[in-house]
Amino acid sequence: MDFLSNFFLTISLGVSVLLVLYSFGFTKFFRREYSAAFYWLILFVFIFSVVGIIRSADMISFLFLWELMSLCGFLMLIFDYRNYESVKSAVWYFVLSHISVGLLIIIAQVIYNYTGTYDFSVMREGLKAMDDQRKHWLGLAAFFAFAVKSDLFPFNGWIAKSYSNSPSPSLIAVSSIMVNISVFGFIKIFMDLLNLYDPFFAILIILIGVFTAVYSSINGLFKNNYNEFLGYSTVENMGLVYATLGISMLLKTQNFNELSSLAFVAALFHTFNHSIFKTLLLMSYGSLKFTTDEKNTNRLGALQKYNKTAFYGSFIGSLAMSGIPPFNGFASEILIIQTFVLSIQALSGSFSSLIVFVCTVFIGLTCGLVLYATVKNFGMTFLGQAKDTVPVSTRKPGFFISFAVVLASLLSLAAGFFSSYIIDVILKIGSSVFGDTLPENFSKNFDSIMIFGFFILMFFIFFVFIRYLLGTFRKKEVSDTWACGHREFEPKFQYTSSGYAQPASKLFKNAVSYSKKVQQKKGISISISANDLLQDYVYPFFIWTFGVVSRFFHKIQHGYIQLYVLYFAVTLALTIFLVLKG
Amino acid sequence: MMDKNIMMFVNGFLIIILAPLFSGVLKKSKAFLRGYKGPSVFQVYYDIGKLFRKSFIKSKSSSAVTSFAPSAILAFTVVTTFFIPVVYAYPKVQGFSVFLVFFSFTAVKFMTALIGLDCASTFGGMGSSREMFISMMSEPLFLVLIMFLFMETGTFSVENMSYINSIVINDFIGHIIAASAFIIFLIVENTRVPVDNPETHLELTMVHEAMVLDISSCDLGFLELASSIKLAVFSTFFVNIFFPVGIAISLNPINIFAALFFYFTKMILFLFSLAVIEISTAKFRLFKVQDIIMAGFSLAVISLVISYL
Repeated sequence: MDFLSNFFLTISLGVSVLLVLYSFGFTKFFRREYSAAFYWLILFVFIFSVVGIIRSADMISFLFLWELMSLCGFLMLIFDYRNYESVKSAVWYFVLSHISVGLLIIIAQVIYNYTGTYDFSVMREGLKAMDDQRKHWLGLAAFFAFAVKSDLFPFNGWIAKSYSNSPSPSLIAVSSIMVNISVFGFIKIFMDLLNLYDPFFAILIILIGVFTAVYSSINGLFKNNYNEFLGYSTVENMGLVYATLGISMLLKTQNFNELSSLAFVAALFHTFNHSIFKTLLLMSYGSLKFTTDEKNTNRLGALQKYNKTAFYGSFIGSLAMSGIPPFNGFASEILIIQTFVLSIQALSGSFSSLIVFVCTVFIGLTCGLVLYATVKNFGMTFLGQAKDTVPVSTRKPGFFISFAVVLASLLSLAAGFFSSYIIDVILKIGSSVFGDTLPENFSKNFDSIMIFGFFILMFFIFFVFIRYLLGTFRKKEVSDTWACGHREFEPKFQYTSSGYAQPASKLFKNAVSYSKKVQQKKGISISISANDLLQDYVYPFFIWTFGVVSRFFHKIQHGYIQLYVLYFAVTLALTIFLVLKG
Repeated sequence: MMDKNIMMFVNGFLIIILAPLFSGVLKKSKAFLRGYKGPSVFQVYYDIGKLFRKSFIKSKSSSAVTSFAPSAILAFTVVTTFFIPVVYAYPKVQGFSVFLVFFSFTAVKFMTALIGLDCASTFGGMGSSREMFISMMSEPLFLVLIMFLFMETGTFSVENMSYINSIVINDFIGHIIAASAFIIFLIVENTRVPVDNPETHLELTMVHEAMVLDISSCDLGFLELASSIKLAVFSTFFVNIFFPVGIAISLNPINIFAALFFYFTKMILFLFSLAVIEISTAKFRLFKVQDIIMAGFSLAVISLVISYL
């Protein structure tokens, strides 16, 4: 499993380097309001804990550093503590991440009781003799512990509010590092330590993963805040990664070892690619903080004029996220799709094949939804004209941010171009994990991406050159956009962000409790709302239940010392009675 | 190996050069079926040539997207032509994945949708939103079709698919049903009637044309050429993957010329059938488009189920 540690260490440290570069530029922004020293402290403790988790060899250090990472994540999310909404939504993260830690502590204790050690390698050997029933309960707990941390459904309701209010470096830490660590933890505890390859679990993970992907991409499409969309996109990608890990497990239970390792490689490759393009997107959109505080895409527009770093960075990031060749999102996306299709063929005739087939169709839908949402967010933020009067500053993001964005863009392009080599590396180093069950020469399938990318580049340069040549001989004119018969063009003629996604509401009306109200008082006013069902209906129910239970406990906690003495007396009497009886 | 590479370029350039002609044939067929003379089959070449001679007009709100996206769109469509077998199919090629071809068209859609939003016009946004909505729904249909083709041929390589299907087709009924689903996919992706009507500029019917309304000169020429090539690539994919009759599987000159003859015949027949479909239906309103896509999806699932599941 050393390969796995090295792989995740590379991703985490790579993203950390970008994050540190980005933070150099970003801390300039809040230096007057907040303590930059405190920010750097949290950031470095966070990176330390991440590296520690990956390198930890025993459960105690793993749990300790896990908790440290969760706390640093929380502190980073509430860094903008004067913003009440930011703190309020981060509390959800705090509660959920502690459910995760709680479950992990229980698992560690149960395993310790059984094996008598906290050392991973001894635990692994000891757990081989554990009975299936107990192992399954442990597996279920472990899956939920990591699902909470990776924000899988139904634990992703906090995403929207938290992402819309938190500063972008915190989001990079959560979105490109922490979720990867939860995937690492899942592989380490669930697949390596418990070694739980069971069809029930595999199908459960596939279903939850794909459902998460579809649910969050639908929600992401209807959000009119670019940060919320990026948050949902992270969850969607995590859903895909977990579903692919599920496929790997399912195939292993059916003894398709070669395909199983391919699915495993696909999941790792997607984790790698997701980290790159999500870091790029969060950095680019995050640098808009220098231009405007507004994040509502219904009001924004034309930001390309003010912030070129954000414009070009998010353009490349959007291309990568939409799975467009030769950018890096494409390679892993098709590897995942190919794995699903290959497993349908391999499992042909069984019920699980049907489930995988349905999941593949939903993955297709997810790809479509992601493309729709990406175009909507990029177009509405950067292109056209501002749809409302938004205060805009011409301040530049500065050298460090631009450098980090350029570096991430190049990485995104290079990871796509040389995807066959990266797959090769993962496969080669992975042989230590899979033994000799690796598909041979599989990476050759991806050589064509490089040829393809090269051709695209050549032809693109050629056509731009032709355009330039023709441009030198032709008249060039700049004029207003056609005003559709009106005297003068007005920005309100444009499609709004809500209007852009409106056709999709016909299909997903109930999934996001979409509502549109048209009122005619002084002129016509249209209000559209689309909500996360979890956030609006499911979580409030839990809060209400928790409130009822708390009120019950409140009744017996009146604060009178006499009452507590009475409780002591009753407890003592009961204990004596039980001891005497026993 | 050298010959194969040359054939790849021959395949590609054939499509690029002939694409406007195929669009012309489609227009002529429609005119013929409607009972009027119609423009010459070479009209699309003249139109593109005329656009290259026009001056540039750009909107004040346009960004670099409007300047460079048409060139990028043409580059993406041109490169896909090298990945599609026209007259010759390789027996053993691992590389040229079917995903590369169709995901390139995703790039085309992505860029076109951005062009629509870039000039800040009402129509641009409208067309862009509609295009994305339609493409979102067609994605699952595409995946099921690819699944069918993979189950049928055991490969993701386009060339190899064509080669294997030219030798033997296992389940003919499933194959025909999948082919009809692909026609729906082709109509949807190329925004033809009944999904969109490329001949009109009526605000209620426009999808593709709405997005490129504010583009001028050689940029528009690039986009027109790209949309012709896209139609040609989809049609070629259809005739050479689903019905690869007569395609050359060896580099014998006689076979190549025979394959060229077969290719032309199949393309003209296919374009004529497309014209029949186009003139016999009216354009659907946007929210009925999902019905036709669902019909295609059902057909694709049926073909997969009866043949392989």
